[in-house]
Amino acid sequence: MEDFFTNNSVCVSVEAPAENLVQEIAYDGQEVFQLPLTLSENLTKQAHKIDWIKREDDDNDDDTHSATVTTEKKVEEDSKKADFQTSSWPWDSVRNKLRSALTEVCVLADVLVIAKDKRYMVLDPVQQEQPDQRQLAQLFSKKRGLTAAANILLHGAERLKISQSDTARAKSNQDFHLELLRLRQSWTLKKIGNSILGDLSYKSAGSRFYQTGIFEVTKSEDPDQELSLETTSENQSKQSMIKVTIPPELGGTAYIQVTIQKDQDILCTTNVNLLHTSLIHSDPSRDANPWTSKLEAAQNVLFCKELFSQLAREAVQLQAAIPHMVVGNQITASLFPGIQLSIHFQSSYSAGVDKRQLVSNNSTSLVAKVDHNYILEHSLHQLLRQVHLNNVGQPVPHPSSAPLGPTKRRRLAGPHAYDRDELLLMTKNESILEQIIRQGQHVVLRLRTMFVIDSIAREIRDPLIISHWNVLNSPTLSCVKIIIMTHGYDTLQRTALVVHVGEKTLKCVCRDGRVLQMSYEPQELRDLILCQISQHQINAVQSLARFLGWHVASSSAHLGLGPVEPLGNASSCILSSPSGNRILSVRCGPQAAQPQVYLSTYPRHDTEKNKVLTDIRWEQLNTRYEEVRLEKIEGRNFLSRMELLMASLTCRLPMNWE
Amino acid sequence: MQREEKQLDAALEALLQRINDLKTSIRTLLFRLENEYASLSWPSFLDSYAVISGQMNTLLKVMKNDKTPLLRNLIVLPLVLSPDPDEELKQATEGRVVAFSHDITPDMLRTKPDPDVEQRQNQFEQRASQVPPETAQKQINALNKVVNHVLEQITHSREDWENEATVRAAAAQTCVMADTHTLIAAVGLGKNLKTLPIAAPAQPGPGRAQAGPAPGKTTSTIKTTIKAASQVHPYNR
Amino acid sequence: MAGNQNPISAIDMLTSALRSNIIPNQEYLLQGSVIDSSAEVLHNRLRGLCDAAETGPETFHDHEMCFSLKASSPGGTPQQQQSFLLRVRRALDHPEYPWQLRYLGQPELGEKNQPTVLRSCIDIACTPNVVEFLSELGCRIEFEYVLKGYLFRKGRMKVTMSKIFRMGQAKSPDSLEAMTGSYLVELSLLAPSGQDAVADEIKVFAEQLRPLVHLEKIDYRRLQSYS
Repeated sequence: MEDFFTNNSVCVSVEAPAENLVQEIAYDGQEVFQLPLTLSENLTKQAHKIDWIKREDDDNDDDTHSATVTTEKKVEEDSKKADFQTSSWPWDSVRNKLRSALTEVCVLADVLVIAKDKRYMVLDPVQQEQPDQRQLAQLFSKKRGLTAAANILLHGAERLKISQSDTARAKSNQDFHLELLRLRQSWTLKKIGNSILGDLSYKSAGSRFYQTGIFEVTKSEDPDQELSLETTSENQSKQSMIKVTIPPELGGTAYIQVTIQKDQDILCTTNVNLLHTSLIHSDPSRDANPWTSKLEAAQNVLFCKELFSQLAREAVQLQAAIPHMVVGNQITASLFPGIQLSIHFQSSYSAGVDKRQLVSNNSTSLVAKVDHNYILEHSLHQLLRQVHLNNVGQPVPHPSSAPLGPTKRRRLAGPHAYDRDELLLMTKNESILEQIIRQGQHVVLRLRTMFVIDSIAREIRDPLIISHWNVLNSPTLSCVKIIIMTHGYDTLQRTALVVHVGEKTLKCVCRDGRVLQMSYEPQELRDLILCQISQHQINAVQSLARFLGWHVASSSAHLGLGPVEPLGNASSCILSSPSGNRILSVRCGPQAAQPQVYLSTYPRHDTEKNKVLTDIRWEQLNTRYEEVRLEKIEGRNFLSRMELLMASLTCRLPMNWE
Repeated sequence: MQREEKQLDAALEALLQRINDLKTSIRTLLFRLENEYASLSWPSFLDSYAVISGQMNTLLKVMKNDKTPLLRNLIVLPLVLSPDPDEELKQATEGRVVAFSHDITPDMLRTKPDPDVEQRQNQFEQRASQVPPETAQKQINALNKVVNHVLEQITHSREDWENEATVRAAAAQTCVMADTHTLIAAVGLGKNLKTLPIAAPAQPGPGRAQAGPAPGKTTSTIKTTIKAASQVHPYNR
Repeated sequence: MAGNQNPISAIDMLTSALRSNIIPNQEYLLQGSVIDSSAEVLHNRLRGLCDAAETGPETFHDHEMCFSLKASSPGGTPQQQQSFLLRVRRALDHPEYPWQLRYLGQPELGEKNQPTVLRSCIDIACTPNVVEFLSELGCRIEFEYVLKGYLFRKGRMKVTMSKIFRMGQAKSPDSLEAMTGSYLVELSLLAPSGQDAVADEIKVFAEQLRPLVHLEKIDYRRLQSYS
């Protein structure tokens, strides 16, 4: 045991006696051995013998391994101590003093304890002469103590004085406080301990997002630098005295990109961001306070994060026919078959600057391609704020002892004995995602409706199709009025219909008061409009005929004759000339590009050859209908041609009339 | 003799108590110093020091107490030395003294102060010896005068401060305990709120029945009724 | 619907709800008062501390009637006779709101380190004919009073400062007589049992109102002898 340790420091190993040292030999020759040292005592004892410097040069001996470990620990401790002494540990002298004080106190305690026990030691009263007072020595020590205390106080007072008298310091302090005041006007601040903390979260507005938006306000830079700068220029003095430190997870920029895609085609896109470019440039106070933009950027990140996490949570919870997908920073929901709404959370913080640029490039090009949908952006903002408001704006209980929380309707539910359905209705609460999906569906449906109307208007030049979209609409309902008329004959006949574009369905109100519900398939609207066009043509011809003195012999909106139309029915009318000897039959089907016109006249040109029926009245039998080749007639459109045709038929009396 | 011994025991007990307190606080401070020095703030450190210095003062007070026998007249007398480990001893000294052996006893019997302290003391003594007694007396008197003056000033301004604080607190009296009690008793028990009971005495008031002492087992219904009725009366006014 | 067919299931559901501690039937309460002249200061402080500062103060004007019901078990001895208070409260300023029937249990002060008074509390919204109903049940009106004041909300906590008025002989709202020159201030939180952590929250909030108002645990049963 002994050599085990000794070996450690001394190269020459000295064999220790096998037994313990003899402490005393009694008169009867009995040897009293010294107690073996306890481990710690031994260590302390041996530690004194160890030559630390030498030890470091030595190689480790394998057989003294365990000891080495212990000693190395010691070495480590020592080096640590050395570190403290040199640099980062200003407390060393304090600690040493405390250590020795502790030792003294411990010894005192031990002595007293042992003396109290009275087995080994006692406190024995003795007479002692009164010691001399040595007042003067006391005086000196007291004086010295007082001087030390006074010095500390004076030093502190001096520092206080300096800090107050130093004008520059005072000025900077004042600036700091002024700015703090300004900061306080727009942000929540509070003082906790020695630091000033602010909160940029939406908690006070009702947000329950887990992430805190605590930021710290500190005085910027060291005053020395400030002092040197102050003299140089005026610009420098405008430098903010306040430094705000925001949590790293709220750094950078972020936005939420919402796109509606059909396969790879982007139908609609929007970026949700609090920092609108127009706003940033318009606000003059922004330049004055550099912290504003920093805090607003952080708040924006927080906002986007909260919005996205809320949407993601809802996406997971919602039971949709086609489940919504949440993968990473993307939520995908299906609006219509083949059309998807995807919501991306884009953050520059996670991927660094390169990505940000990439993203911004990307987004600008996207925005350039497809125009930005402000309504959707606005809606997302509005919806999250609404959730906040609902959190905050809990109804006030009346009477005042009633519990907080339930709405007035729920309070009334008991006394009014609401049934299950009513209660269920009350619990229905539409999530943000649902509302966004509905809005997205509306956007898609509106785009489709627009497309259908525009393409029909492009395809069919005659009659003209005019669509008028209402300026005022809700995020999920808009309205379009479609007017069908013929150029130059707009007073003669106008067919109007109104289409209400909803979320998944279209509602069409026709001129005659019929209301048609249609699905989101664009073909249905197309068919309807084509039918309306064909009917418009027939109606317009009839009006024109009356105008020109012709008679409408018959008209049918749903003609059962002729070739079967693939969709809807053809409409037709039969017009007879004022004298009755010309009959025009007009037929117009939804699929036909142009109406067909047939003419029948009398007297029949072939009656002369009829030898049997000689009576003149047989001549009034109409001939077979022959198709008029309208395209050969001059005129800009169908009605003008018809007008020309009818006019010519009216004036040209049959040769053999008399 | 008995009495003196008892006194000594009590004094020792008190001293030990204080010393242990002191020990604990020094130890805590040391621990904090060694483990939390990164987050240690100067004010909290000073607070700890203040605690220690306060404990020192109480220790000195105990020593100067009238009931404490003159410690100067007591010597530590070792009775027996034993190299055998003594479990009891070990426990009493928190493992510091395992055996009352030759090794350790001289430390215990040490009478000289710490070398640092001794040196300083010697310095003072030396300086003191150089000053003639009359001058010394003068200096002592002067110091006492100055110190007394300062002390007076400090106590004076302290009183001022404390007065100010109490005045401020008194001025900002915003609530009256009596009102609190009146209001709560009114809302909770209907105290001073009950209207003139015309038919009321027929039944015991519930609030009183709850709050009043529970009627004994022998009390009959009639008795409680009477009691209640008589109790209603004071509130009628 | 199922409840109609099997009325027991509703009770089962209620008891299981009770057992799983989801019904907020424990009220954590601290009480105090503030004299009228300082009420405005307290009002402003509360506006600053509480939620929805921008919507302005919420006022209330309530009328409370306390009924006592002597419940004696059939054949029971008089000692088993118990009576308890049922409180009916209505909002005078909001007649369209339902009335409230309230049972308050005995306040438990608990140990000294328990921060708030705890009492069980059952609230039921009801129609105005609850008064007749209670009378039919054999309840007798004990006392009534009118409260006017302000209500604040801080998270789940409710802070009320109310002026208590004695009803005059005419029993009309005009003949009101204020009890004291102070506002009663109550800080309460309704929670399911076993959520004692909220009590500390209440305590912290109460500390913020010091020294303007001292919100404390007050056992009104001890105030019996107080005159």
